[in-house]
Amino acid sequence: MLRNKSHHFIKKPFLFQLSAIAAVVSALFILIVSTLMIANYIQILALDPVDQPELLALREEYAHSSEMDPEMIARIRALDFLSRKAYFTSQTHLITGGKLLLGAAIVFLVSMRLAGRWNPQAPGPPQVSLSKGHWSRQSLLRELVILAGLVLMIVAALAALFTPLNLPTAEELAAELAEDGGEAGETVATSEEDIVFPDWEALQKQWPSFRGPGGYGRARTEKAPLQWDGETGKNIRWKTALEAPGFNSPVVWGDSLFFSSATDTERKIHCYDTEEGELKWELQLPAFPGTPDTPPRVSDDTGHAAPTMVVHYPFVYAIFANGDLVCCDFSGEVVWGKNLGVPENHYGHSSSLIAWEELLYIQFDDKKNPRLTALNAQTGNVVWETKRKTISWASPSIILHENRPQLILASEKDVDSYNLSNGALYWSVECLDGEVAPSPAWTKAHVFVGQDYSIATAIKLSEEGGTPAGEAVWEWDDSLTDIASPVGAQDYFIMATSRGEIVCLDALTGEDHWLEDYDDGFHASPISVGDLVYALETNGDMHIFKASSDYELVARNALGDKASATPAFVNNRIYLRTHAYLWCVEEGS
Amino acid sequence: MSQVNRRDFLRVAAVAVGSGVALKASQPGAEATVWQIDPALCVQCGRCATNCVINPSAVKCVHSYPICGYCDLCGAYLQPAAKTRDTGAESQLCPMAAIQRTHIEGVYYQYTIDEELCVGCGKCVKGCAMFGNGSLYLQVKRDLCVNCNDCAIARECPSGAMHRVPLSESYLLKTDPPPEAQG
Repeated sequence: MLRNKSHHFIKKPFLFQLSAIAAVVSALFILIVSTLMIANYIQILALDPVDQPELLALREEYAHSSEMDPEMIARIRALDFLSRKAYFTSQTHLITGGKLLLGAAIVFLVSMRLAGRWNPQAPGPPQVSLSKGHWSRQSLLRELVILAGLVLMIVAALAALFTPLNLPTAEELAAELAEDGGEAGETVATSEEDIVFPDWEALQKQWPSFRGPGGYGRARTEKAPLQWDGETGKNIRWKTALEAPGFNSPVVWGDSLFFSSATDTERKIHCYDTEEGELKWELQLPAFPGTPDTPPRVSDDTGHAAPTMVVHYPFVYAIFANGDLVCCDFSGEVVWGKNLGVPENHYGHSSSLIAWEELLYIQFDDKKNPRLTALNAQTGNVVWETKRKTISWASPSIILHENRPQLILASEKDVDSYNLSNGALYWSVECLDGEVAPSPAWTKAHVFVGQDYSIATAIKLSEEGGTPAGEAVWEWDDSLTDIASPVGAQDYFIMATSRGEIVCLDALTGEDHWLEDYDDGFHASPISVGDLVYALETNGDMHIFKASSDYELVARNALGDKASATPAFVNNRIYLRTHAYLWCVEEGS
Repeated sequence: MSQVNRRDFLRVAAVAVGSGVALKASQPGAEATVWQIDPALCVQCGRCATNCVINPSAVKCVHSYPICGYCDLCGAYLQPAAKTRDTGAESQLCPMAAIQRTHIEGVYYQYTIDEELCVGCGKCVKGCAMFGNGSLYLQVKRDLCVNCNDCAIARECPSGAMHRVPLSESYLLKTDPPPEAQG
């Protein structure tokens, strides 16, 4: 096809020019790609992904450190990722460059051949005599071509040397991690100020998480209202109508009350003023990388916004059934957000968030990969992660036993206690069965868990060789809770069941002191306030009784609206989220 | 005698070469040999990763599942001083994260090699040989190897593990547990 079969030597100037231009362009392209490939190859030769010195040094340091330093772990992970990324990116460049070079070479050869065909030269001696010095000039040109090739090689080598794939040093990496973290494409914190998160003292003065400070149902308010009436408005400070689907409970910090809501298509955070009940702001979550277009299937009793938010001043955090996790500030601005992957969870993700010092804890109960993850509360970066054996629908609690905090989680089989700093397992007691929704309770050095159709167990805490330990000391298998979490109040564990029973057990011995039947049942978890226990029935009636060995009802107050969320008790007030309203109850209102 | 032109010469030459190749192919002869690593001799020196003319190396780690103990504490997957048994980079031994760890049940995990990522460094092989059953070992991948006359790895191999084998037996596979493991 490319052979010149014409014997007429007809010239086609336009086609000749076209093919000549194509040849020149492809030649230039070949030169550029060759230079880049030489540079890239030299860089690859210099890069040793197997024994990267900085990474080896960091691993060595980590291996010899006595503790699991989260910062060092983050540095190792980041450097490891960068090292492999640099290696494989260079490999990809080399392969792509080779293909481009082959294509360009084909274009060049074809263009040259076509240029020759469309500008044929008649055979025979040259029509003009060669000028003097023609052959020496030709020789010089050849030498120049060789020289140009050598210069090209040297330029490529210099380019490779002066733009090495230098991985950051440990110090540079630490600074980089400190500046901004997060995976590519996520919404990340843009700056890191010296934020001091609240300590335990400060947390106890607020209602920062599901079931209050520590997440085990004990209110620190001096007193709580005893009498109110939703119909007449007696002691109702304010009441605000809601159109916000979701069963999560309100959390309160200062004059701000937060809760979340979600439908199939949108996820929101709501902030209300605690003084007047007015809406301060609403935040509709943006889609994060990985946010699924199709929402996960959830049961009607769980919904898309079952987990309660956590406030960790100056930020608030929310998680949804589709795996979206967001951190925003008190003005409703997103600080960071990410999608953790859609958890495979047949009722829908329900575990609430909890925070302690600089870490945010997520009990991410995905059936394929159930795990407990601690994130840097400021940046959202993973600090540590530990695998769980099975999932549950319960929420984590943080207890202080002998001044040492422990993170307590219930699963379908076990109750586990973790070190908050590094996720190390302190103790695990296998005592549960079935689909566990109630969260652990805590009083008198005993952790208490129970699940309907299984058994309730009290676990006595102790210290063994300076490490927390737990041992099951008694069991109870009569009326057990299936949704509402038990509460430790004074010397008793109290359970409220969805069948309407309230059971009082002795915390130390397991003796059942009394059992009372109510009308509708309980989904909200009972809360201990001083020597009283507040239990909110699904019909909106709050039963207030004494935590004692004899049943003594103090008051029963009706709201007149269905209730599932656990109320917040703070500053002598009760904040309640019922299905249609948000309420603030205060004596003397 | 007429002069043979270029085209006719090329035609005759092509027919001659083609006939020769066909004749050679139809006759029985010595079987071609290819380079392969004898797992029994390999000392996991790491030179397979650096000496191969192919980059990344044509040597990859392969896994014999019948031999594997599916251990949670896997010497091939975890750093010797790993503080946790998880997938974090601080815990993993493989510098390329080429081993996938999948939970099976209880304390049992399945380990799968991702050949796209493996560079044949042999760190995992050494770890498995030291603390496990030796189910991981190195092999030259036939689809990657260019079968150099003078294999650059064989030249540097300190234990002589790289040698030529018949093409029909080009992989030296471990398929059965060692006698002590069968015990």
